[in-house]
Amino acid sequence: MNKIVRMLFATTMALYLGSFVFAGGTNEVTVADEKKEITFLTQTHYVEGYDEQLQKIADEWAAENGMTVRIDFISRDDFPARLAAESSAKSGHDIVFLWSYAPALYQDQLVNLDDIAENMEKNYGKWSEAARKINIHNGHWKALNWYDQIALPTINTDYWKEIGIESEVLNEMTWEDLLVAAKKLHDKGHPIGFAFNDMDGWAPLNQIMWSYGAYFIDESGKISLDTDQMRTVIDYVVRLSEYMPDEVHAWDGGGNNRFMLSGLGAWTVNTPSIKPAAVKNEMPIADKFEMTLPPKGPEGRFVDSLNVNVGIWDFSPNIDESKDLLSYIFNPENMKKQIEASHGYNIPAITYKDDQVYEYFSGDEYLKHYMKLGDKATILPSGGIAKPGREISIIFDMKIIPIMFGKAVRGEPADDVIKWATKAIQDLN
Amino acid sequence: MKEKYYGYIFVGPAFLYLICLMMYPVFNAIFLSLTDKQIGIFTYSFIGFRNYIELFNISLFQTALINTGILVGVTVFVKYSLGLLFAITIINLKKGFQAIRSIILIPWIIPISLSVLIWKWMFDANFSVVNYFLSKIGLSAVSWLGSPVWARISVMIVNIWMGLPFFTIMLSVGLLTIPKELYEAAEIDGANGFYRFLNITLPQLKSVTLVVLLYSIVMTAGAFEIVYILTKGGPMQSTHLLGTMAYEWGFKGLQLGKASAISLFIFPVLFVCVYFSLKNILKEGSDI
Repeated sequence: MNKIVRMLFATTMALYLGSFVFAGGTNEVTVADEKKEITFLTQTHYVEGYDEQLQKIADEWAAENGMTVRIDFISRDDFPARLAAESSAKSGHDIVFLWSYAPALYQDQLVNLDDIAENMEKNYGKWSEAARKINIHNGHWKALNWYDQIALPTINTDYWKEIGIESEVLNEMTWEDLLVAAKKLHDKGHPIGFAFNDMDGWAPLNQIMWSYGAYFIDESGKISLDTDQMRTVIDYVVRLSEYMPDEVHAWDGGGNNRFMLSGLGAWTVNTPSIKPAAVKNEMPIADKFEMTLPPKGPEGRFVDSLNVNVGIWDFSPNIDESKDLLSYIFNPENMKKQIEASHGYNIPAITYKDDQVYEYFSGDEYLKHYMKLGDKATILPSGGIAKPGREISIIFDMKIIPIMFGKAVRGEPADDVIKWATKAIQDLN
Repeated sequence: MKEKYYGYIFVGPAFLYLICLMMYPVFNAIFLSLTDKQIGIFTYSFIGFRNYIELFNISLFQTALINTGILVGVTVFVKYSLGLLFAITIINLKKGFQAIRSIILIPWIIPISLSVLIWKWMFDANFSVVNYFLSKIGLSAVSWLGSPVWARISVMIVNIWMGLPFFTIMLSVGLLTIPKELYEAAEIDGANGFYRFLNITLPQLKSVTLVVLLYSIVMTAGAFEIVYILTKGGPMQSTHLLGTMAYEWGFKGLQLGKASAISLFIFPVLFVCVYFSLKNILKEGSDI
């Protein structure tokens, strides 16, 4: 019996180990085997159909250059862990999506992209100030600002008409006007809302903070939460939250969308993904949605721009090819296709010389406020006036400020929440 | 003599697997927890136990530790109690015992991420089917995931729902191994049902109880997926467990050293639980 067991074991192990030897295929090398593969890690886009268009653009480039391009799409929430893993292991994709302040965080492991950034500026158009601020470190372009995600208020026009306000009026409103209107809407059963426990909370809170002159980190890098302006904003948000459903604290990245698409919400702050989703699903409510400019505060009107960037790891074996692919993705014709596929969600960071790139915006009434937005509002990156760096990246990813406001809304005194947020930032740095 | 070496050869692959895939990450985590390593910074220093000491100053750690303790205490107790009740019920069924036992396993065999996503929809603010049924019986809607208290309860509900089948099946198997003669003798002596349960059922289930409790305590203390998918630690970081806090601090806060310390913090407690449980289990086995 022992002999049979030993023979069985030996045979099994031999087959198992032998499979590794043969797993690599035959000795015959085919033309297909010689094709280089460029790998690209990016986020699953919020607008259906965009990912397929991006893959199509990449495949066109690949066909022209005799290579293949593999794009891996993952959820935005999984990026911190994924980037950390690839940077630590010095292994992974060639091109990576770097949102917000990630270029500052990983600058020492990203390839300099000065050549293609300058080339793009020469041939395609000028880079925005935010693009330079986020991506130039120690005098070098470490990543390229692919597009910006800018959230503006989305309203259900029917509900606003019920309280006697036409959508154009909203473009001249102040935040105090919104408070008055929110009460009327709430009394009619049409609450307003935005997230407090999700990254989506940054946009509306930044818009409010900056328009009252409040910044969580100042230009010198100091924590500036303990200010009168911040206390004013906290008080305002607490009052505004009385007209929001309790569930805003549970919203994830799709919470805003579901709130409006369900027919419950009258106002939220979101990127232009709500109406396209309603149109795609042939929902009657689609016609009710409009986007407006955000309200103004004493310091003016501000808009938060979430910069979506792409970079190339320095351990990539395909640096030149990756640069070429990026140049192709950014060219005006392909940027136009991406804007169309995203239904205007992607706001280019380059001001393209070719006006055809912006055809989609001018043709869609829903997106009218995105045209020349810089003339209507001050656009700042999500960290405000703070210098991009590690600290801002951590504060942003850990949602310290939305959580601070969430605690205040839940009844904690302003002094306590400011103390909490200050300590939370200090603990993390 | 040759026979002896075959034993080593047979356990070799499993031992290699254990070392490479399980022990290496543990030792690496222990090492990292004694350093100030951060993601994106290539240099780091050995700082001893400073990470562990500094944890007590962090309010989120206090919250996560308390949440973990409450989750383990409450859910293990409820799972054991309900599991025993269900086990006693199903083994006394005259018909359909096998079928019902198979149905009971469903929460256990559905992939965790899938079942938590389903629960997330069931608790959703706008589309909660649970709130729908509550409204049908005249109760008001609950902010399942928006209120810190109800969010914690939601995590417990999902944990109990997923873990109950394991307790039920294991305890039902344990109950089936109890000799019927013990109950018959007790009945003849005039013992009532409650007395028989306390003095025959529970003592006879001691080994199975230790096994299921040990397994459940370890798995629940290390829980991650339910909170990560259901609440992401919110609202306002109120549902964070040690596992999810370690993830946030490691990958978003970039503090690999501290994150490792958070994840290893409860290790000594669990080690003591495992040690004494296994000691008792092995003692029970040798007594038999």
